[in-house]
Order: sequence, then C-alpha cells, then structure tokens
Amino acid sequence: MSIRDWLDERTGYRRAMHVALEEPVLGGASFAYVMGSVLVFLLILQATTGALLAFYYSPSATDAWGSVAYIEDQVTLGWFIRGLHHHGASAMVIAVGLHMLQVVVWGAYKKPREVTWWVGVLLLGLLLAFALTGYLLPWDQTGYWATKVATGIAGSSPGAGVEIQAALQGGNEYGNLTLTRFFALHVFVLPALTIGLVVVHVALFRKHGVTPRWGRSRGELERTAQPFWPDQLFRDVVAMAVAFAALVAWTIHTGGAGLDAPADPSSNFDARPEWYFRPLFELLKYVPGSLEAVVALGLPVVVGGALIALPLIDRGVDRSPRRRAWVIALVGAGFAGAAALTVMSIRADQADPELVKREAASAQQGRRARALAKQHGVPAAGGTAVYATAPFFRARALWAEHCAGCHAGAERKGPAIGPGYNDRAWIRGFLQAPSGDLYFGHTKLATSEDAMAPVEESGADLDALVEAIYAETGAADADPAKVARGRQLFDEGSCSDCHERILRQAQDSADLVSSGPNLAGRGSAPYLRAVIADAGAARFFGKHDEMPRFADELSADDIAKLATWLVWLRDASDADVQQLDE
Amino acid sequence: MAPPDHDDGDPKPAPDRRRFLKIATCALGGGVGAAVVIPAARYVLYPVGRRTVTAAAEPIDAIALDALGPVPIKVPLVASSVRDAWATATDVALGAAWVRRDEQGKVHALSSVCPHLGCAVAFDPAAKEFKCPCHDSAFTPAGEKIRGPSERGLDPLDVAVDGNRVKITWVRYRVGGATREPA
Repeated sequence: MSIRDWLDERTGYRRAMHVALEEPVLGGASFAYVMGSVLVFLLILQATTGALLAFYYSPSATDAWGSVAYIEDQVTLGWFIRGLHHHGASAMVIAVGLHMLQVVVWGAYKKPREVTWWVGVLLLGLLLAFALTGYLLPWDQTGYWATKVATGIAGSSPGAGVEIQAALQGGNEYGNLTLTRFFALHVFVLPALTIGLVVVHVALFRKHGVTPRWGRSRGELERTAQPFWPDQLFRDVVAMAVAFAALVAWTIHTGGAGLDAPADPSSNFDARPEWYFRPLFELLKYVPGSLEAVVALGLPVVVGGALIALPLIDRGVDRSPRRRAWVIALVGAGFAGAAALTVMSIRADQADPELVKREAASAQQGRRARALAKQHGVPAAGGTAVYATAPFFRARALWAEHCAGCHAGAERKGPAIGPGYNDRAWIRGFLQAPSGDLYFGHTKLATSEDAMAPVEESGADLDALVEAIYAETGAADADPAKVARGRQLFDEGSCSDCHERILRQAQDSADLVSSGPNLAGRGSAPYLRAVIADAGAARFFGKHDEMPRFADELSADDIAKLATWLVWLRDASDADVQQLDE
Repeated sequence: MAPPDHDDGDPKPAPDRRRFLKIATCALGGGVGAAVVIPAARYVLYPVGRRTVTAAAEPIDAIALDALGPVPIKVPLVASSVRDAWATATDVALGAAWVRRDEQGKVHALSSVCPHLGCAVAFDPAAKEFKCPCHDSAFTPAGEKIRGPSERGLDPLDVAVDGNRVKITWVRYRVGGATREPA
C-alpha cells in the first residue's frame, strides 16, 4: 500500500480533490471566467500580507505610527509586504469592479443566481469596510484625517448620530479605543464575515456553474464542455500570475504604500480619501452641510439597494445585453459619473497651487518624521513626539521664543547670532567694527562713551588676536603659536585697558571686574550659560546690559541646551542649520 | 463586445496538451507562491540576530554605598533610556541585581536571573542562600551553586563605586549551560 493509498483511506482526499477539480466547465474553459479566481487569490494575498503586518504592528495611539514606520523603514522588505497589502486593496477594488461589470453585462445575476449576486453585493460592502478600517491603522495624517471625516459623517446622521459615532470611534475622541476597535474589525470581524460569505458565494457558484455567454443552447454548451482541472485552472493561474506581477510592479514602482507624518490633531491637513472614495468626497463639496449626512450615508444605501433590487427588477429570461439596454445604461452612467467626479476632484486638487505646496510640505514632514524615528526611535508619548528627538529641538524652540526677537532680523536689539557665531570671521569682524550693524550696532552701548573702538592691529597681529579670542571658545583647532602671540598683544596693547588680562584667568573668577566684559572662556558653553543666565552680571555687561536675566525665566537645563546650540552654531553653515529640518 | 467563451476550437485537447497545462499550472502557481513566501520569510525573520531591545551599556546608578551590608538586597536597575524596536522609553527597569558589601568593604552584585531557566531568584535570609522559586536551584550569598539543576552559579555584574553611589552595569546572560554568554 502506497503512502497515498494510506492517506486516502484515512482522509478521502482523492474524492475531495475530484469534487474540487474535476467539474466540467460548460461551453469550455475561458479567460472570461478568471475574475472570481483572481479575487480569491487577491483575498488570500491580503490575508497573508495582513497577518505578516501583524507581526510588527501595534494598535495603540502611541505606538501605531511608530510600528508602521518600523515596518516601512527598518524591517527587511517591510515596505514591500506593506505595499502589497496597501495596493492589494486597490487591486481588489478594481477586480471587484470588473467582476461586477462582467456579471451585469452577462446578466449573470438572473435566475437562478440571484442569491449569488446578493452575497456578492454584501462582499462589496465588506471590501469597503476593510478599506475604511484599514486606512486609519497606520495612525498617520492621511488615515487620521480622512477617517475623521468618515466618522464625522456617521456622527451627523439623523437620530442617534452621536451614539453611532461613539460606537464607531470607541468614545468621545479618537484615541487608543479607536485603534483597538478598528483593528479588531479589520483583523477579526471583517475577515470572519468575508470568509463565511466567500464560502457561500463560491458554493453557490459551484451549484449553478459558470454563466456562459448568452444565446448558446444547452446541448452546444455540453458538447463543448472541458474539465475545470487543468483547462480552466490553467487560465485562472495565468490571470492570477498576471495580477500578481502587476501588483508587484506597481508596489516596486511606488516604493510601497508610503507613510505620512504621525497623526497630529493640532495640525492642518488636507484630508483626502483613497481613490475609490473620491467620487463621494467630490460630491460632498456640492452638497449643503445640512444634507451632507443624507447624501454621504444615503447614496451608498441607494446604490446598494439598487444592486440588491437588480435581479428582482430585471427578471426577463434573455441575458443578451441588447435586450437589457436600460441596465447597461444605468450601470454605465453610474461608472461614468463616478469617473467624472474622480477626475474633477483630482483636477481641482492639481489646480490649487497652495494645496500642492501644502501637500509637498506634508510629504517633507513625513520624510522627516520617519528619518527621526529611524534614528532616535519614537518616544513613549507617541508619534508626534518624534519631532522632539531632532537635534537641538528644544534649544531651537527656546531660541525662537526667547532669543530670536533681539538676535535675528532687522528689528533686533542685540548682536546678530546665527551660523558662524564666534568663529574666526565673526571675531575678526567684531574686532574691526565692534559697533557695526552685525555686532553692537543695535545696542545703546554702541552710542555710549563706553563703546569699544575698533582694534588698531592689522595683518598678522590681527590674526593672532583673533586666534587668541577664538581659542577662548574652546575650539580644538586654534593655532597655539598664534594664540600665544595674540595673548601677548592682548596684554601689552590696549585690550587689557578695559578687559584686564583676563584671557589667562579662570573662567568663573567672578571677582575679576573691569570696565569691559571678562573674556575668559568667551564663547564656550559655560561662558554662554553664564551670559544667558545673567548678562548684567558685573563680569559681563554690567550697567550696559540690555538683555533679560534668563535665570529668572528658564531652567538651568534649558539654558544649558541653548548654550550647547550656540556652541554648535560656531562651526555650522546655513546649510547645516537647514539640514536640521530635513 | 463579449469575449468568446471558448478560446480554442478543439473541445477535447490531446492528453499531451492537458499534461502540459497541468505542469504549467503547478509551475506558475508555485512561482507565485515562492514570490510571496520568500520575501515573507525574510520579513518575519528580521529580528533574528538583531538587538531589538537595547539600552546604553553604561553603569546604572543603583543605590547608596552606605545602604549596603553583608546581607544581599535586591536593587532594580533602571536604564535612563531604552530603545525597544520602534520606541524609545526613559527610566525603564532592565532587571534587578542582588547587591551586598563584604567584610573588606567590597561591593558585589549578582543578576537576579537564575542561570537555569531565567526565573528570578530571591535571597532567603534564614537559610543564608539564594533560592530559585521555579526548579529549586540554590546558591551561596557569593553566588556559587549549592544544589539544583542550574549548571552554573549566579551571574556577577560589574560594580563601580563613585563616592557614595554604587553603579552597576546590567548584562542579561543566556540561561542554561555552564558558560556565561551575553544573551
């Protein structure tokens, strides 16, 4: 007894295979019948890629975006698996559209296949429910805002709108419960319903067989019958392979599903739905707010109702499309209307240069968020906290709020501070024109009798002086010989008249008071911290100080962050600063 | 504009042709399957051989020196920052150490992870030994194995004393076996 016999005796697999495969296809195998198989294949692919995504995805408001960014940017081929799942959904919408169109043209919904058609209409509804629930799961800007619109529409439905919305989104606001709910629906409830209905749909299809082209006699169909296996299955598999190849090509071409910046309820985002919801989106632009719920909820109900009613209304025996011109016209008009609305919507978006700009900015922000997430991880506070992991994020925010008003722009009141602050060129410029526009020109000190005069040194002596002051910043590349010469000039020349011989004093010798600031350690982090904390201290600007005492406003930690940022600026260029935002 | 139901004239193809169709169907189907399964396997196995949970390998400030005596006490080791797959979290407990100070004043720290199968050992002050609650391995206060299924003694952790602060470097060792290897 062979292993196969042994197995067959215990499982009866031969008979099962025979039942599954050996069915005669009336009228012969044809590429016209492949669409159902392609849909089953796409469904299995969605289930497979969906299960794979669940290996890494975490359905919580704080983790969802981070986990999807991880799949997208770090897990091997994560972008590909997710891209297949994302575009696979679109492929299913296209395949369902073609499948239904074919059924309409063939008249395949007619007796005795009405129930098959109804189950198919329910499956269409489930497909759209999959799309709606799946769109939110990455918790990115697109999914968040588009789904907000969808649940908002549900919330404006007459009667129990508020309760319906709360049931959908899991409470009064979007949050953890929205995601756990959408996840449970998308991953457990909808698949279970879909499997059940697909089994019924396929069983009914098997019961009634393929719907051959109209106008062929029963005898002719039976004469030309071919077995399902391999004649039809070969065609089915060819179609599946073509669909799969197209899906893979599109996924590679687009680089996957893409992922926007993390959902940010405080941002302005141009919510746009997936392409297959575009017609409805566009239609809502022309509907007054009071009728919005009626149209947004009513239209799908009307369309669904019409589809359900179709086999009850179109009851003639003749399946020839010529005899059912009104059905073809109606369905054609529906498709044409949807296509027209889609084109209008996309045209309107493209014609709005401000929108195009905002979308480019959103895309840039998404790339930045993902780059930060990859480099630093997403903080426990959630997706939007990723921005705070950017270099100098806190310092730059403090700078913008507390410092930029006086140290940047034409209206400033103090020296201009930016990239190159305290580098050699900055120091040289200062020594040559201390009251110049970029330096103390905007301060009251510049017009007082204590204003510093330009230094007299030039050439190699000026270079040495610059180097000596530059060395105080703690820069590692100061030239020791020049520094020594510079210090000598400083002590022997007029500098020490006002600044004493401070270059060689300890940085925190606060008792060393002279008419000009103590320059020991000038431009180093400790010096900058001390100046920010209290620029009016006797060792700095004393009575000439115009800068607030930030020790009263900012924490020591924040002041330290600012000082670190200012030190970094010394060797930075405009491009370096710009790069911080990329 | 309906396509034909039937795309060849002969309704009963030769056995050879049907054989070819069967082989082609299986080959094509297998190809599509492989094109899914191979990327899927690489994707699923991404974490293998990767450090997906990491903390800075720096000594963790654990406890004050003068709080320690000859009886081991359990101290949680809290990392200032931990990267766990996509997330970074601050102040995350990585594990715990049993810490004591011997007669010479030297500080010793032992990982609380039983080297047998990873349960957390506890010190029994009456019996003056560490006991594992799972499979009854027992260890001396110095961490040497007394009895039970563990193949090695408790895993020591590096200790540094900085003034009155005791700093401990956390390492999670692989459980099982007689040799000590970081997990």
